[in-house]
Amino acid sequence: MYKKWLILAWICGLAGVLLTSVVISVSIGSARLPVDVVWRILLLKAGLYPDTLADWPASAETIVWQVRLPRILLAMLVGAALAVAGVGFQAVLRNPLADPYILGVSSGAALGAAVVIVFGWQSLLGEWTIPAVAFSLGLLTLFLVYRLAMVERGVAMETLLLSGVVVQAFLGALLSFFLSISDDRMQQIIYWLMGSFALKDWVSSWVVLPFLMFGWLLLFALSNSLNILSLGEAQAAHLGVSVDRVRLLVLTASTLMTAAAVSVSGTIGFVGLVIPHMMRLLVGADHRILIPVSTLAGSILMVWADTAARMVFSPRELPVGVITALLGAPFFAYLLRRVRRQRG
Amino acid sequence: MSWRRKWRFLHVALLVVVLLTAGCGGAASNSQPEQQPAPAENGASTSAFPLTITDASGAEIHLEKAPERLVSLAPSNTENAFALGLGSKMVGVTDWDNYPEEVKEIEKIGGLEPNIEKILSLEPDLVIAHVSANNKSIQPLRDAGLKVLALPDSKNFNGVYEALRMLGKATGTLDKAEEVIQQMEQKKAAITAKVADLSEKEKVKVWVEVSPDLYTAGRGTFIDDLIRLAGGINVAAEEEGWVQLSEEQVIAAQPDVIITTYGGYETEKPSEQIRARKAWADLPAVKENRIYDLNSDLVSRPGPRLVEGLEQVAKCLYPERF
Repeated sequence: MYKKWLILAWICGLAGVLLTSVVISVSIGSARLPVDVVWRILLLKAGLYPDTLADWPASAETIVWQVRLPRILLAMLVGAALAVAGVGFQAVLRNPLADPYILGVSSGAALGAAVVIVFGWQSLLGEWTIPAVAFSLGLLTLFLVYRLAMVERGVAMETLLLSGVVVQAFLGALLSFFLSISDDRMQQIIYWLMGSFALKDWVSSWVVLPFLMFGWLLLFALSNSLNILSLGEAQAAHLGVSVDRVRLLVLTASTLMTAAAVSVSGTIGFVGLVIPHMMRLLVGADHRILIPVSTLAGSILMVWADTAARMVFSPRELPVGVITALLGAPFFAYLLRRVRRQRG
Repeated sequence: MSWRRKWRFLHVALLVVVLLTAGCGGAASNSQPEQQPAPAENGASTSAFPLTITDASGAEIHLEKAPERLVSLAPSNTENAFALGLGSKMVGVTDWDNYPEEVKEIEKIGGLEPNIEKILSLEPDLVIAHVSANNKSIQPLRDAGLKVLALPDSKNFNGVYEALRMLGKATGTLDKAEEVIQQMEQKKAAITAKVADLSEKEKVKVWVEVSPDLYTAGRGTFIDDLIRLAGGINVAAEEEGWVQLSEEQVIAAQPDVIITTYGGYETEKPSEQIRARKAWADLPAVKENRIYDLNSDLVSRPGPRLVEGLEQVAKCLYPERF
């Protein structure tokens, strides 16, 4: 159905946009470093610039190499993870409102983070306390939701969605409870909920990367099955797709990606909902294309959202979740109207 | 209303002039840019009741006699009251009160939103509020028939003195208030004297971390004031109020000393969290291990212990001088 060159054009085009976005993003920041210094530092790190010509203060190198770049890389990975997880959830649940958080992964993670902050347990595992607790509770929540939806004959998707709603409501109530007793820590929790890439180093990216790679490869490998699944469960079963197995694999892969992303960056909304829809409107519903294209688009949106979060009220930083919604929603609305009009 | 204020101002001003010409400048000797605490009218007044006092909310509060049952709606008010020797009269304090020790034994009336029922049941004859922190509660409490004294929102040492005087006047302990203020002034002068001869080059740059998401204290906050008095340079002095800076900016500023104020729990250890930040490893403060976790109550609670906060800040900045 698709011409090969068109697919290639989409992927190359988006990759080009992503590269440009990174180039721009790394060049600007609240510490007003001259652009040429930024690039000479990067060349130095790449071994293409002689040490002897380094005429910038040591702090400039730290800012570019230890603050800006790790943050941009992490934004790319998290954006990609959320977008692809969104594709996975939407395909399996066959619900346009599905996003990576629909089965409560983020609620569990958020509750974990809130508890750690309220009780001041940040030093138990050092800087990794909140991510570790958030990740485990996120996974636990999905397990709980899945278990709750399970009946003898397996899991019906409507039941799964509803049990997700139930568990989320309960966790949400617990979260509100902890917020209400958090006194002066409330702001910290709310900031975590809205998501941020501030104060993240390279390690955060190395933590997210394996989950992203594993989940991504699994979903991509299953993209044919996902295509068939979108015809309907009965048809898919007739065509020899083991529906239950595919669903479980996709849910697990998507959840792992989501939990890893959320645990390091907080619950950044909207990307996982909107990017898959947007890309489906642009390139169609074939998962073999949809998955790579959504990966790139998620990264692009997140890099820009984080750049805006850093720059709009500089030196103050906005929570990146605010920006993703502010950028994503209007663009999505525009796209929706345009495409519907063309087709209608 | 306004003529009354003007009249009072004239009254005070006159008193100051009289005192100054009479050579009673007293302790105003060494360099104090702030105005010398002027004894308010009725200097020797433990028996000034009945009296009417205009509080920081602009309301006039009439008191027949010195109040015997006090409820405090803010920890700073409680500390002020204890400093004035009113501890035994306190019948209600907030959930957040933690100083002095005795507050643990006193009934709790809630947090930021005090419980009006609870307060009424304690039958206080004066509720000590904070004009901005409790602004939502003041009117409801007055409507419920309670006498509420709103103390001013202190922004610096003089603001604390003003609050102490107002509370002293309303409770018949003005003499004690003046005494506390004198002590604070003396201690403050002793501390600032030790750092008075610092040259601009010797002054250390300070990054104050108020929360782990890099909120800090800019101009107009107590901490900023304390750092300046202690001879330091606040990295965020250009900003106004409580603000957030970016990691990039903190690193670009290259602070010599880092002070945190959010280590409320034993397990939190903000200084450890800061040491774990890889991008911060080359900061002078981190390399020389000059990261200090301070008790935020001491440096942000506008009460008599502020001068202790100043001492602690000064010790962090120039340990060799203290």
